[in-house]
Amino acid sequence: MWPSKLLILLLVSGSAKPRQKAASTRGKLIYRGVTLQKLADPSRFSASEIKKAVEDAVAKNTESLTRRD
Amino acid sequence: MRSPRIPSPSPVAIRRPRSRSVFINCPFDSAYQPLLRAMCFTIVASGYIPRCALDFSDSASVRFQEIIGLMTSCDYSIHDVSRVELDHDSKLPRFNMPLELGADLALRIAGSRAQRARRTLVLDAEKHRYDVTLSDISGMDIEAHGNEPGNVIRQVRNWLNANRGDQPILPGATAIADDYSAYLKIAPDIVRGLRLDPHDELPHRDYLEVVEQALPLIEKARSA
Repeated sequence: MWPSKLLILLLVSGSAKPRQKAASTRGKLIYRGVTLQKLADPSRFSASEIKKAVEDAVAKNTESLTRRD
Repeated sequence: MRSPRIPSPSPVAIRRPRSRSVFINCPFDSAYQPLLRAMCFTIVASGYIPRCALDFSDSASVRFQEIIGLMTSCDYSIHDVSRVELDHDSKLPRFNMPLELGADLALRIAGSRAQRARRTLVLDAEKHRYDVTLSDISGMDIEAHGNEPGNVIRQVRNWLNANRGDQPILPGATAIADDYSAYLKIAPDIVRGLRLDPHDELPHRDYLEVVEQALPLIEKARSA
């Protein structure tokens, strides 16, 4: 008798356990394992404009960025 | 030069996590700008949000009441009291930085419970000069940066890292400083890509946004 009660108890306690919600990093910028905070203050440029300018600059300077001075 | 979108000037209305916000009290002139930029770079790279009077206006001419509002919305604050010399034009000292530091310390001593838990870093240019200029703060977290951006990066990173509780350790100061040097290399091209004025004239808010976008890409490029 008691094993079924134990089973119910286990099931109940299992379902009552608070689920640990993994922090969503979707759409967030990550730098060296650190999730960057949304700065929120509006820049004069859209995020896509800035992203493109940065990507182009990185692409243009790939060699000097990878070189260890 | 193009005329970019005009941002909505509502810095107070935007909610940011206080536990991730760092108030900066420092000079806003061109002589101090390399230190401020290095400081903001480090704060963004560490996953925090730099807040200062430049959030309101690029001239930083902001009322004291607004400064206090900004300060109390941040759990962390950095005060640079290095500017002790006389103003070139007026031949008088400027008291804004010590005034704001005093307000911060008053919050720590007599503020609400949340304010009493504030974390404060005081920076000066020279070691132990504050013993003469501001002896009442002896015994606090005070670091000397020698007017070197690399020192500011190390001190701000180490201080944030020491005040993170059980959160993961931050990237090392050397890595952040190297990435900052890399950023400075590509900054002129970023600014050109945005068809803006020279990098030194990049407004504060634009600078922060550029840094935020640049950090992951710089890391990726440097680890390639």
